[in-house]
Amino acid sequence: MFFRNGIKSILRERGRTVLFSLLIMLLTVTMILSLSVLLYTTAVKNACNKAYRSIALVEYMGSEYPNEDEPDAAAREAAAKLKDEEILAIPGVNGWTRGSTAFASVEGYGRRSGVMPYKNRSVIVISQVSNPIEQWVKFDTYNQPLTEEGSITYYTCLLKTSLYSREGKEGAYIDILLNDSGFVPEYGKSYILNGSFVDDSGTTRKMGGYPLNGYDVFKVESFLSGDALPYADYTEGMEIPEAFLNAVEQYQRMNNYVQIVPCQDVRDVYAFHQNELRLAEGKMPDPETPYACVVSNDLATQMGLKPGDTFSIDALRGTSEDRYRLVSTGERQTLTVSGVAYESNDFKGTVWVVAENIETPLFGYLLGTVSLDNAKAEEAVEALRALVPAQVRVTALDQGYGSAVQPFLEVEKTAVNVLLICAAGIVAILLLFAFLYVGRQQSTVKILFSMGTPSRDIAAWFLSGALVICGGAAVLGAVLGVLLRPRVFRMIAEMASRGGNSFLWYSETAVGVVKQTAYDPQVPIWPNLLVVPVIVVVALLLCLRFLRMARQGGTRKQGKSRVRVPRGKTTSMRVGGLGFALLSIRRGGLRSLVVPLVSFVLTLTLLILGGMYQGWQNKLDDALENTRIEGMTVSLNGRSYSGLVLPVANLRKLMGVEGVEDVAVSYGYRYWLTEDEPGFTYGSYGRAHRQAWIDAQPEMVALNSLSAAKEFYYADPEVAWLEGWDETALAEPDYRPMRNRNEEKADEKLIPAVCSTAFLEAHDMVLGDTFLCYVRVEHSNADVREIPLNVQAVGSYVLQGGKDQIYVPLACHIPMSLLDVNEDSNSIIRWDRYNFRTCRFYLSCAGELDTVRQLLRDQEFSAVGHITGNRVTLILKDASFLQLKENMERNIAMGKVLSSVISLLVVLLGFLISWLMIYSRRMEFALMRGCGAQRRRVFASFFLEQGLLCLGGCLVGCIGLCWLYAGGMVQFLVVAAYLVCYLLGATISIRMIGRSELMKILAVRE
Amino acid sequence: MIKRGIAMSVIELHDVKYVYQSKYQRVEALRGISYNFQPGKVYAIMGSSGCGKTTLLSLMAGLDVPTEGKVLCEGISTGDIDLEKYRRERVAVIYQDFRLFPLLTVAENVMYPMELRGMKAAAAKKRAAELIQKVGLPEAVLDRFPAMLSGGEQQRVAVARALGAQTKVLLADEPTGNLDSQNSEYVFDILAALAHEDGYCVIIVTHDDALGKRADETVRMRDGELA
Repeated sequence: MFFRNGIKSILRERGRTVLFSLLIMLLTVTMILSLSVLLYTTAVKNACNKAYRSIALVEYMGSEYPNEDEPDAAAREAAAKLKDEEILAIPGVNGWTRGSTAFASVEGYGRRSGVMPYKNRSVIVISQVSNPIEQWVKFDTYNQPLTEEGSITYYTCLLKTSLYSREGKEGAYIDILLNDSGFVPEYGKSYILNGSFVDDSGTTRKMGGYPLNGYDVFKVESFLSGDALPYADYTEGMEIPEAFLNAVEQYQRMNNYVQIVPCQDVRDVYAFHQNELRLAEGKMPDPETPYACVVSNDLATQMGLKPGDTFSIDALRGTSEDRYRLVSTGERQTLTVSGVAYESNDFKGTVWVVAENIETPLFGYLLGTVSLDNAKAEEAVEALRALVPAQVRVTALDQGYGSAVQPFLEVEKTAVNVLLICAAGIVAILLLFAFLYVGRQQSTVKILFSMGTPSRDIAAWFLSGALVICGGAAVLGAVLGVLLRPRVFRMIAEMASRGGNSFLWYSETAVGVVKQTAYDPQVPIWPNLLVVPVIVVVALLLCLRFLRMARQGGTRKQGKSRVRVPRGKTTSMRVGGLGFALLSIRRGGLRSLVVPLVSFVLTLTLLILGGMYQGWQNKLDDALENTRIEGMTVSLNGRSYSGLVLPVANLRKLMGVEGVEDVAVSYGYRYWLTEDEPGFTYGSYGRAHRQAWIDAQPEMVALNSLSAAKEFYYADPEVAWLEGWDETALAEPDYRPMRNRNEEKADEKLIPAVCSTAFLEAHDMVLGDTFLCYVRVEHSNADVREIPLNVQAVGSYVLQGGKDQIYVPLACHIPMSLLDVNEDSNSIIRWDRYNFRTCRFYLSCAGELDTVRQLLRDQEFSAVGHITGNRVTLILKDASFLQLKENMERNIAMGKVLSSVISLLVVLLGFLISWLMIYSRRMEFALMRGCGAQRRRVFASFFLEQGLLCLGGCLVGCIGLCWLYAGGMVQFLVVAAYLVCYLLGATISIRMIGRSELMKILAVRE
Repeated sequence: MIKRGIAMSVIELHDVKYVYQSKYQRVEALRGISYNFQPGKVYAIMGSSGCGKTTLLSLMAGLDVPTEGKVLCEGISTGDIDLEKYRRERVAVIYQDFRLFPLLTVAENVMYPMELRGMKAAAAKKRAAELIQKVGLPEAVLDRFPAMLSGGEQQRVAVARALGAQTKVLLADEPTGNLDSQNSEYVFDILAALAHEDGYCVIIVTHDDALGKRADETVRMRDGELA
């Protein structure tokens, strides 16, 4: 009965019940959807976390950028400064693998390609040695140039046996060079020799006309280890001496090494991370399984290895100067194959194994790889950059995790806000529901109570209705929410796929290859359904609370109430609207303060909020308009300038992109001063050595701006200019390109140059001095010229380290007209083989960033996700700008929502306050009307009073904040809207009181 | 139809009917009341709750017009006259809870109806002082605010304000309902004196039998009709 009556009582209040049901249902749907979105975004983030890996490459970027196999003292010094524990202590760093690699031998594996530094070493048996042959040359020995002329002695003989290298060439004639081995062969005899064949695959023979007979040349050389003589007599049938056999074994070992790459997780290896390498078979090793590994395809093929197989390696150790001079350590380790990599020429005979760092000397530039927590990668990289020594660069590669997750983070924030607002809304609605349906039913409660109805039956009466309405609406809302979920998920996924990846093209925040991920995680339904019982329980609890209040209600508080007495004396009052309004304001006391105070505070709130919003907007506009974004060509392995090749045609394409400006490019030629050149012998050795010496010389860099210079990439050294000269000289077009210059005679026109102070001091020069130098210009492999140049030092900079580069106008490299994109493209045909080593440029306006990105894409520049073979791409250094933009846009979006919501609230509040203020004074209104005051006069009194109070508050707020407010008119319009709504509320309130029966108001007992 | 009291009427009720019509119900608050109220007399309208006393008073006060029938004041029907003007010039009402303007001083409260009728402020102020004295209050209260006075004093100010309207009819809705017996007596004495000495027609709606007994005439009502 109680249930029935309770439910009927509620259902009979049809309008109200429908309204509450709809509100509860609507809020339930919104809560379910926002909760679902929250779960969805969490699931997507988790999926992304699994799919993407963030790593950071820590590379030595000093001016003497070492090659991969080069022992570089500075790089090693930088590596030594990196402390494992400090790196691992950075929040967000999951692992740290040093760049050092190790070597091992695997029985049965023979290297057929890749780096084989000792492949020309050999032990040979020769016979039919000729008499010594002398040749008079201006010569050098192999290792050291001599300035004297002399003779070279060699022998011709028959290659009888080759124990290593040149297999199959037995029976051929070869030339023997004795060097300083002490070996003196006798005519016609046979010998066993240790040494190396001169590599005939290089350019030496082709370039110089080898001085000997044109046969393979074998140099007798000492053993790499041991003091035994590298030669011995040989008679047919004798056993090969042990020292020679040991040498052969050593050469085999050193050339058939397997490179061991220890790593904490193979997926962090750059090649795998960036899709240079993929698995052909098996899977990536579990990082928790030590010595699980991925093997290169050639190793697996030769050894017949399949995933799950095991094989043994014998550890080898090189020297600190030559990583390939390997000796066995005697250590043996069994590895388990987890996966096999696809065929790749760059990674022959390589094993990537889950293992600790191996203490080996560093070669090359890669100091290590950091494995990062995706979500904290940015902060971790920042911390890492602060930690690493100068000239060490940290490049973050997140496979596009940031851009993939970013849209979901935004959605997640919105979902949390919506969920909180809905939760607050549902509590408010349930509170109102409980108040109206239970709290205000005092009479029913008292009747039931007076009739001796048990408390639980009274509760059943009221709670049954609440259960039906709230429960029913919540269940309906839940069903609707669950039905709508897939559609909402699809919308979010579409939005994310539209917003992700594409907008970060060429951005340094998305360097490297990005992955594409399908966002289709499974999101459980049951957590959403918890909303229903929560709503029902809250509703019941609130109803119970109000039921208790209803039972206890009706008892007035004891004690006298305090009556406020106005101040003032009798005046010659005007019964007119304005007079009465002013009098009421004057004597209203606190009541007259409330409205202006509230109006003032609300105005202040609106204006401050608007000011903040406008401030953010202004800051963003300013950033969009005034931020210059730098761009450059880089190689994705971290080299900013080493070995890059940007052809003239590509440069012209880049310059043709609207928004790209101040393009600075450079190209370097080796230069030297005659006075610095040592003497070299004639002949191939001398020439080769001289080439080697020139290769080691600094460069004369032709550039159009110093920003393209190496020294100016990471630092900005100050340049002292000779009076009358400045940097614009570098962009002057009136200089002849090197390729057009005369090899015999230097042009008389001086080339202005910026030299290092060290260079000037070393050559006892000052700014303004001139000097003659040579540069090497390679027209082709067969056409290498040395061009004399007359140079004048017009600027000097302090060398930051590295070599004494000299900077000269770009016109010395190519005609400047080639940089004019309006110039006929046919004119570049002659120059299309020319290129640039460095390229930096700027975007004229950050606001055009996306447009420029699109234009660059249209021009098919290689970029993230589309990396060409040489891994050269354009990078826009937009990270800090994007971060600022993202922050500002987030703030602006939040400001928009807040402004809208708060503006609406303020306007509603204005309406409500005016309503309450008038309504509380309805007795005065009725009394005035009862006394016969005209309707318009009474209306004017109240309207003017409220209007003046509200206007006063708003005006003070506006005037007070005028100096602070930086924005447009929107907030003032909202303030005006508030004022209008306030007056509207007052008008409606007055009119409604006017329509009510005056006697009813006047007869009410207070 | 019942019709009583004929000679020299100030207020005449002719078959006055009043119906409260709401969405759910129709209540006939007054069912054809005819009565004549004469000047110089104190009338007490009495009856149980819901019998229509206050409705009748509101019709006589010009706060509403009857659904049927007529309320005539000095021969003019409330249906034919501007009710605001009627309230300003024909009747004055005294309410149970005094109903003084809380923000106006006693003098300003009394001056209010006078100024509404166009009297100059100075004259109104002088007249207010006279009326305050007439209701037995000292001149010192003139500059006080209602909240500073006792209930009896406030009701006397309300009487003074009613007198300031310079009407011939004084309507009072439970004028002593909030007062103790002594103050009730005092207020009634004032009203009686105004009727008997100044010729006002004083119509009091009350539950108080003692007050009813002291009235010159008692009008009893039951279910919207005169009993």
